[in-house]
Amino acid sequence: MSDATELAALAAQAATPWTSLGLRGEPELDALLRRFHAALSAARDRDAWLSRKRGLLGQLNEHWLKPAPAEWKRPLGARLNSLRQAAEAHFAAAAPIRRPAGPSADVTLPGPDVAAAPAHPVMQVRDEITDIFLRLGYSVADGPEIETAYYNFEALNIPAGHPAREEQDTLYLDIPGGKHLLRTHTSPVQIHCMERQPPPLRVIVPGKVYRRDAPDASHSPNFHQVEGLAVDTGLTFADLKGTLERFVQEFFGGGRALATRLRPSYFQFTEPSAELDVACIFCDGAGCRTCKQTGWIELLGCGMVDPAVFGFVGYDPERYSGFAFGMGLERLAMLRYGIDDMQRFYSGDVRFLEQFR
Amino acid sequence: MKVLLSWLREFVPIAASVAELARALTLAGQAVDTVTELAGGDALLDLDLTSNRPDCLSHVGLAREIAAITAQSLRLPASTGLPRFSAGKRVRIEAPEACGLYYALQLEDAHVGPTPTAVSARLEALGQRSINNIADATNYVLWESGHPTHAFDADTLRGGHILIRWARAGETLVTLDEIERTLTPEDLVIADAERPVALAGIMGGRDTAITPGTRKVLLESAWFDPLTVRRSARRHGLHTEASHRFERGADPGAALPAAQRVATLLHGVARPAVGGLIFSEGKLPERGAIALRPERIEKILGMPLDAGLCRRLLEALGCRLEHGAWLAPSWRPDLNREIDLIEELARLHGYDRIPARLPPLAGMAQPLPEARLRDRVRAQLRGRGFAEAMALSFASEGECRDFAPQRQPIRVLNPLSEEAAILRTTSAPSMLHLLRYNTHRGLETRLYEMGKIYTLEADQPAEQAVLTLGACDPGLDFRAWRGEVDAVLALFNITPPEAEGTREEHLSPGARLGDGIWFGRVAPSVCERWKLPPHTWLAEIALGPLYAAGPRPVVYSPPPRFPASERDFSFLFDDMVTWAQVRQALTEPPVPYLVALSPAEVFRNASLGEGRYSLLVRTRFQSDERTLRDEEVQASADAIIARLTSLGGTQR
Repeated sequence: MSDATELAALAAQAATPWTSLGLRGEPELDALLRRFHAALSAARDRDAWLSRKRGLLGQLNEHWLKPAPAEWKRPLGARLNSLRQAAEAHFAAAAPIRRPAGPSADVTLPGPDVAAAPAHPVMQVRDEITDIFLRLGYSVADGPEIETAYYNFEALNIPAGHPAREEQDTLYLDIPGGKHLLRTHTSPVQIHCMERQPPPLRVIVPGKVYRRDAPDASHSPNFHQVEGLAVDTGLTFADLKGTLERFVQEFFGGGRALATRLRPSYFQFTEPSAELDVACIFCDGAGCRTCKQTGWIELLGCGMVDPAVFGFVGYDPERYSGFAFGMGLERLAMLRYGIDDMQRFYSGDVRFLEQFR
Repeated sequence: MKVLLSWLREFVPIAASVAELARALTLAGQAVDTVTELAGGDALLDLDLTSNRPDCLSHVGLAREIAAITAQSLRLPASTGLPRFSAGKRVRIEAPEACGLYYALQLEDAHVGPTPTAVSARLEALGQRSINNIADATNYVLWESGHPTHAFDADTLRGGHILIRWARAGETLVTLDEIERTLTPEDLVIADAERPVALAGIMGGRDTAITPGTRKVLLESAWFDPLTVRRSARRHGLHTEASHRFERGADPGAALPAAQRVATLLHGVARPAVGGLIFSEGKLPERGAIALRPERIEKILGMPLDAGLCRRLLEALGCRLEHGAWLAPSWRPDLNREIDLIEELARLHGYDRIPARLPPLAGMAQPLPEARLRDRVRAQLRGRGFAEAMALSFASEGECRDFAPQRQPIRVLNPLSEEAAILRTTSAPSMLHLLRYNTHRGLETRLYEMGKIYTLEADQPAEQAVLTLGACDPGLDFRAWRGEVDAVLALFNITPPEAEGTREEHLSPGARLGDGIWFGRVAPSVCERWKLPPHTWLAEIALGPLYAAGPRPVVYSPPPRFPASERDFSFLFDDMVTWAQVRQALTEPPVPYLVALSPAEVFRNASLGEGRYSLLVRTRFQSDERTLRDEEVQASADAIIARLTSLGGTQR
């Protein structure tokens, strides 16, 4: 039987009023509809099936479903519905691509480069660290880059002649009075903050710092640090440890805990002092060139605020305790992105910068 | 500092592997940088020691640390007795504040010669050149126990006295390194009756050194004030193993044992003279007893430590408990306060055993007041194609003078180079360097930088935050560049003053908006000197006043209910007539219903004639009460034409 004859037969069937079909049960209905489903696989004329009035499905609705008694509505409706879906799926698959009139576009051509220019990677790291510590409840402070020896050294428990003064090669400034220098760390802002405000205190200080270091792959006469300080009643080394572990988890682990260790160290303005190491993020602690085969990468210096420092700002060291930490932003950016040469940060090279957008 | 594993083992049993030892030392604060395996199972450890631990600058000192960590006992090197103190050369300390004590031991019948291989091999493994048996004995003791000693040829010392005194201005001393040093009264010297013979605690003199012909030796073992040695060593640019130790704080209790140990090592080479040990005393730092409260330990560490454990750990370090307070050993100048002892306990017990705790939140954290504004500016600039750059704060005096001749620079007293002799008084040179780095590589770009400029104001330093824009772009013109500046300013609650053309030679054209803002195209002569393309643009914007003004406030008004009418007016003007004049003419007094006014088009062209330009003024008229009638708009348009005409314009 040709398609057209079959279609005509089905149309006649669909136009037969329900009451004339005389069906006694659902198996008989299924048998009838099987013929429609079978015809569908070869169907090509969409309108003959789906045209709203003339189509087979429209006819079935009109002549079968509408006059059917209430108890038949549901089983019949469900079957006609699935026949309609089958018909729609069949014709959707078979439909040719229809091109609207008008000019065509090569959709594979890229758009013009209107992406935003990049933020500097070191500033991105600064922003991210600031954000992490804001969430941990730390306010942000800043302070002058031109400092006096008092704030940069003395009040941080580094008296004149102390070896620590030479370990940070200082740039001194020609300013009347002879007291001024370029801060060698962001730590003087600790003192400014404590002078300004009584405890409790939680603050971080991002900022530019200076050392008399000739520029090379790992040195620059100016670079950036973030300082942190928390002072309150009842803050302990355990709080320092928990805070920094959380920071590392957020910054390097993307929320995943990373192995860290605290190693005893020495800073004049903290005691006990420590260096925080993180399990090498490049080799997972197995040992590689970046971690010098140790499996650990030195991240930052920290410790409990030395009671002598509290003496300089008039905090009662018996009542209050606190911790401080400091980290180099360039170093963290280099670690995060595997950047080989610190000078790239200051070159302005757009080929470098554009990788960070 | 380098140490030999085999040498450490003389003083403390080490069961662990060298890798485990290195790890244990590192976790106790004596960071082992590298371990080099040597023949015969020996190893060389290179440590990065902190400056508060001079006691670890020797094998015995480090062995004591290992003994404390591993709960082993320490064996000290053997010494034979010394002769009694007696006269001989008298020692007189004339600077007791700088020399705490001084032992001089005379040795006779010296036979200067080569050093036994056992000794020289060790010294060489540590990178120390073997000199002769006597000098090497002093060096051996330095590496063994950490105390520096010095051997003089006693026959070269003139007069009957050894003096420890401040140098006289202008005195000279040729040190062992053959350099003649001119001394100052801040240099502490060892002197004989006539002249300085050693720079105390730093280096001996050439003329009194041990030579192959030396028969009598005067061996010095002393304690010198750290600050004195440090300053002297710095002044003379000298850094020696001796000065390294004295300036960190030598052990006064080690002076006599060190002399004894040298004499013992020199057995068979030189013999202590009968009654050849002389001693003189100056002032030593006073050491007090330290109270240690268990509750304080817990308050700092966040965990209690068992009293028995504390006692064992502190005693292992050489501390003694007397009348309920702790006395620190003479080799630990860093232990003076309760917190110093708590650190020792934390360190030896192990930082890893202290729990970690995230403290609960306390109060609301505040970002920097300007952070939101700063970040809006940054985001906007990046959206407009400016990449964020960072620059150095330094500049050369000349390049800053070119751009900001009126600003007084702050000079660096010890600059790294002439190019970094001052703190920048303007960010222009920094930006030109950044742009040039790119143009030299064929890259034309737009950059911004947020940093500071530094000036001297009434002899006081001033730091000012500035935003610097830079671009190399042949497509830019003055209005487009001003648009970049205006877009930044539009974020703030300010009305900048009218732009004024700059007279400075470095911009052409250039403009200022008040004191803190300038922008323009870098003048061709400057571009040529800097080897930059002629289409190089700069802007410097002082951020302080903008931050102080705050963000542009949002003032809501309902969108207009009635339609607006737009009219354009095309006029020819003389070049002397500025947009500011046009704007003023059309706004003071107000033209009825005029709600917006802009220079839609400005062009100059030969056909218009020299010194003239065409201006298309776009206007919008609107009322919030009704739709304007044509004749109302026309009346306002006539007023505009009249005002522009009276400004000297010709309608086209």
